[in-house]
Amino acid sequence: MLASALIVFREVLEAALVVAVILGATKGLGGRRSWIAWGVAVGVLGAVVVAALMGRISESLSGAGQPVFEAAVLLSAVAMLGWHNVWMARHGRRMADDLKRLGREVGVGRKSMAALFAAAAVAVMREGSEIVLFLYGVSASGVGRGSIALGGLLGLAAGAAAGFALYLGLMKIPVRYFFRVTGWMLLLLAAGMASQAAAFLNQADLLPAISDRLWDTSWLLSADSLAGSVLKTLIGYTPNPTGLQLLFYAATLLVIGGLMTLAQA
Amino acid sequence: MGHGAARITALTLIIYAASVGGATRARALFGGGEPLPLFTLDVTDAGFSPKTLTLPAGQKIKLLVANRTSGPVEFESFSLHREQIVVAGGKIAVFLGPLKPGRYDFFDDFHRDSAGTIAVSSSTSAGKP
Repeated sequence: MLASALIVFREVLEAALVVAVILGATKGLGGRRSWIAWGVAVGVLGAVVVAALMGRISESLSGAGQPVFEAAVLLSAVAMLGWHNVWMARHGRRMADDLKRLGREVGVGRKSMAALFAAAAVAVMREGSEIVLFLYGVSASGVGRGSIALGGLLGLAAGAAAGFALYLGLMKIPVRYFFRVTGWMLLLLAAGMASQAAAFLNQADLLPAISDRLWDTSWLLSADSLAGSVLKTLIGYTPNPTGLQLLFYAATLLVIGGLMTLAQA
Repeated sequence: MGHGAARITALTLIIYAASVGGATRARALFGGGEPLPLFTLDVTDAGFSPKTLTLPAGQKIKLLVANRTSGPVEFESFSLHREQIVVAGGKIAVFLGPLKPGRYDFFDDFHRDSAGTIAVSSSTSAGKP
């Protein structure tokens, strides 16, 4: 039970943190809850579909299909988050003013909300498909189904609670700094996803690692620790990044950050 | 300006993803130059087999991971930056290297007590130019 609780917790945590940042970053935007709730729902559905097709995905492209799929999904999420961020850079100041003055939700473009809907869906789909596969695998083996289901529910609850805690924390940020802080968080989230995509592209032998390991801070904070995996999701922390990962990370920061600056002017 | 910038961001990344897809297809169709040395790792109900896999240093290799259990497994390694699901009875390709000499731990993310090591020694590449 503990094993299944832990595995489900880890996966739910990653998705919940992403959804919490997205939900936080859209504070005060009209209709955001239903957009993002639909994103999560579509993500859950997508997770079941991806899990069911995993055999085909993983054996496609001569056995390198899954990393290519993961990279494509991650890069599309990066594009979606980038799109929203640049849009917000252009309209965020006016929206913060409206929010302060009117104290109620303000209307935003459908496209920008659709981008966040898709980013939330993708995060849930990626982590969710692993949960579905794992739980299907252990339940097919027939041993201790009840305790595994209970463990899964515990993991789900704990992961969701952590996401909720992050969301509550974000809500405490003063309105004046709010969109600037959440914009940065979305940007770091996107850069972290790009770095993960880089690792998958190297895994599929599509791009060279450039350098195996630029540095190694596993002694300080391992990738396996709770804090390590939280930071991996939120800011793309990797104890031993490859050159390619750093390149993707920096390029994402520069491209999206640069476009945000341009859009503000 | 903002919309234009957003479109450019999206477009750049879409083109990027498409080119990656194109490269993959091209490799699948035309092959990737000389074939890579093949190594095999089995996952059985008793765990990874072999538990310690010896690989050559300094060259790219293709590791075939075959899942001979009745449930899905996930081959994962923090030090190698690899994580790949293998469905029951399935077989996947994990590309590795060129690796530096050393020991690299890997594990099954779906069964955390199941683990193994890749040992890369400089001497194994001695025969290479």
